[in-house]
Parts: sequence; C-alpha cells; structure tokens
Amino acid sequence: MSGVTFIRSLLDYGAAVFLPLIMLIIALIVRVKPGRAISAALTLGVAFTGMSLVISFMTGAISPAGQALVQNTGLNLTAIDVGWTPVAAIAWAWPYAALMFPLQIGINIVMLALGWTQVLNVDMWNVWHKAFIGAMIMILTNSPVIAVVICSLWIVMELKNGDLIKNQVQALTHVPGVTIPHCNMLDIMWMVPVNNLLERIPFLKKIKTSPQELREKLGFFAENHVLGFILGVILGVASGYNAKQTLTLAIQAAASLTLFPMVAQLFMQALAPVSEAAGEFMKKRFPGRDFYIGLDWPILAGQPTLWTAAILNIPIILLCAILIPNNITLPFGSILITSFAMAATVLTQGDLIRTWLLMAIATPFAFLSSNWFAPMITQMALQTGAVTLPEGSTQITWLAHNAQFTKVALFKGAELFGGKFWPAAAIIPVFAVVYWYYVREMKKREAAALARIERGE
Amino acid sequence: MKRIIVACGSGVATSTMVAERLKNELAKRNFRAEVRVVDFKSLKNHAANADLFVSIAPYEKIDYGIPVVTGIPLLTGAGVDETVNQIIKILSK
Repeated sequence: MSGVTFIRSLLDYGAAVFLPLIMLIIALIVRVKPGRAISAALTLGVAFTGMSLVISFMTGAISPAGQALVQNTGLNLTAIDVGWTPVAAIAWAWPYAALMFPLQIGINIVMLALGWTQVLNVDMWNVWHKAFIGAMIMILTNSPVIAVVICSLWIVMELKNGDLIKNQVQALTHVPGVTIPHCNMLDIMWMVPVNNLLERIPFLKKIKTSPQELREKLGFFAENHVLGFILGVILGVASGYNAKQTLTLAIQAAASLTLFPMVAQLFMQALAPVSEAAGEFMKKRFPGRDFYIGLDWPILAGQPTLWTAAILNIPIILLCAILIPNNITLPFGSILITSFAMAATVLTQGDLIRTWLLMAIATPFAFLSSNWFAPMITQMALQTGAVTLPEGSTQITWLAHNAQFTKVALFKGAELFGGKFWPAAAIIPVFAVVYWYYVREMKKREAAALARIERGE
Repeated sequence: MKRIIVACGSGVATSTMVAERLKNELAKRNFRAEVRVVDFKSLKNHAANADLFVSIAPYEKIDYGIPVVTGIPLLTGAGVDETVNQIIKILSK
C-alpha cells in the first residue's frame, strides 16, 4: 500500500479515527508528554463519536416534530438549527483543519515581529472558525489556494480587531492586558452605524434598566435544560402533538441542549495540551515585550447585559421563525444568540436597551443567512462524516453564526473566485467602506474608553 | 475531597482550558482536588456544592457564597504559579 492510498484509507475511516492520529502527531511535535498526548488523541475520537451520537439523538427527536409542524401549520421549518457546538465538530473534521494552527500562529508571529499588531492570540480553540471558513470556501470556490488566502485574511482581521477593541474590553471587564480577537467581534463593524443612530434617540437614553437584576430574575430561563424543555413544549404544541408526545419531545430537547456543551467539552480537553504548548511557544518568541493577550470571549460572561439581552431576544427569534417568508430554519441550538449579544455588549459598553435593539435588528438577517447556509452545512456535515442524518428532507443549519455578517460578506465576496460576478462585485466595495468607517469610529471609542480606564471608572 | 468549579459562557472551551491547566498544575504539586467545569448560566446551583470558584469574569459582583479566584492567569499563562498557590492556600485552610 502506498503512502497516499494509506492516508486516503485512513480518511475513509472517518473523522473519529483519522483526527486522533493527527492530534497525536501534532501533540508529539509540540513536545507534549506521550501519555498526555495519547490521552488527548483518544479524547478527540471520543468527542467526535459523542457529538455524532447527540446530533443523531437530537435530529431523531426533533425532525419528526418538524415534519408534523409542516402538516399542522404549513410552516416549512425543515432545517434544524444545531447551534455552534456540532458545527465546531464538523469544522474540526475538515481534513485540513489542523493546518489552521500553524497558519494562525505563523501569521500572528509575523504580524507581531513587524509591529502590525499588539495582540498575541493564545486562543487556540477558535481556530475551528478558520477551519469552518476554509471548508465553506472549498465548497463555494473549489480552490484550496483561495481557501488559504481567505483564512489568512480572516486571521489578520481578527488580530487587527483585537487592537481595535482592546480598551473597550478593558473598560468593560476591568481585566488589563487582554483583548478578544474572537471573530465575533468583527460583527461590531456592521452594528456601528445602527448604534450611532440609536445613540441619537433621546428617548432611549431615558430608559433606566438594571441588567443585573433582570438577569437574576430571567436567568432561570437561560439554563440549557429549562430552555430546551420550553422549546420542546412550544414545538410539540405547534406540531399538534398530544400531551405525552409533547412532554417526551420537551425532555428530549432539554437533554439535547444539556448534552451538547458536555460533549463539546471533550474537544477542548483534547486540545488543551496543544493549546498550552502553542501559547508558550509564541510567548517565548518575544521575551520582554508587552502584549495584549488574545482570549476567547467568555471573559465577558460576567456581563449581565449580555445574558439579559440574549434572553429577551428569544421571543424575537420565535417570531422571525414564523414571519420570515420562505424561512426553513427551526431555531433550536442557537436560541440564545450570544454571538450578537457579545459584540453589541462591547460596542454599547453594556447598555441593555441598545444591545437588545441591535440584536433584534440583526436577528432577521440571521435567519436569511442560516437559510442560505443550510445546504452547505448539511453537505459539509455529511462529507466529513462527522454526523449522520436521518433519511429524508432534514437539513441542519446554524442560526447564530459567529461573525455572521462579516462571514456572509466574505463568502459572497469569495464567490467572485468561484466564477460568480454578482453580488460579489457590489459587496466588496461596501465591505471596504464599512470597514473604513468602523476603524475611524473605533479609534474614537478606544480613546474614550482609555480615558474612562484612567479615571478609574 | 475539595471541589473547585470553573465556569465560562457555555461551559465548553475557556472553562475546560482553565480546568485542564489547573488539574495539571495541581497534580504537579500533588494536591488532590476535583476540578469541575460548569455552565455560567447554572453557576448558582453548582456553587452550592463547591469549595472554590475559579472565575474568568473576576469583575462580577455576585456573591456565590464561596471564595472566588481569578482564572485569567491560567488563560494568559502569566502568573500561573501565584494563582495555583493561592487556590491551594485557600483550600488548605
């Protein structure tokens, strides 16, 4: 058996077999101890298998209800929103996903060396977004070169964005020396013009809210099992299920939403040794220099506005699912759209009303893009073998893409290279103008945030 | 055995990263404790059965009834020893 056929046959064994081997090799290269490396590799295989199990369980429970919904109401919601955790699993299963580590680390080191950024991104988890983007671009353009170019551009944008928001992050979290180069924050650029309009409305300024108090009152509804149960009941009733069927569905939905993050933890457990080593490797390259350490978004998790706005946005999601013409997305896994919430929380510096309004305005567009993404995500899922879907018309999709607007703009722009002139030719200049305005605005806001930090607010 | 909880936004990535690093560091020091990752949204329920909370949002003003230690150093890699020693000190009391 030659080398190529050997690798090909390994790929045929599926992600759960192939990727642990890759992980083992990477871990040994970055000098993780063999015992820990083997454990991490096996954990990755377990993670894939576990995720595939939970996705099958969830689609098995929800797709019959979705079909009953069509018959009962005429609402054709056949693409189940799985949320980010299964999509991350699918992205990791992309055969070239592991290459995104050296790409991100390499670009970061070059940019630091040239003084193009002050951000040292140690967040290796969100490398999966780059894998997702790469896999999508491959579907859209069929060109690995363009996939690498776009992923590189994305990495540069994320790092530059970490520079653009660092003081605002500190003003909000009071954690010095860190920033959030998470791609989610790129969506701030599309929110800036709308937020500037909202800031001019005097009436909005007068509304006094206490996000903390509201979060404590509403927080119960944000817990995964509670949320899953409520969604299950709503779906069961809307589908014309009887009491027994409805309650069974509700418990199954609660189980799905509870199990997704539990299984997704395994991916991070598998990644932790490599992630640690990568962070140390990068820091060693620049001894004695001051950085802003790039972290994943949960340093914002203590922001009451983020959670309260995400909970208050749930009714808007449900309304959109019903009212948007030709909608096929059945909201489920992304019912708490934290992606919009975190970007808006940083931009508004924790103003609840504006965060909520920005989310409400963005939500219908989330549906349009998730409807567009559904066939591609389904294709990706089936191609990588990360999941199996029940026979029939069921699709999976992701309602609350991280950096949704920026991603759609980028993908539509990339279609130019796939031989499609429109709408790429229009999107690229719009993107450039929005970005230019955004950078200008962020410079003002960074200066204001710095002044607040210095005053000790 | 003492129980430490770690929380992040969804109880997936950041908290698991912090927990894995903490487990490793505690093991190096031969300190036995259970490190459990929980979902930020269910934090209150979990805090009732834990001895210490490692927070990634240390600015939060909620009283969970247990000592809180910042987990940021376990993410950035700067000040890991101090943080781990502080955790051990609190739990050894």
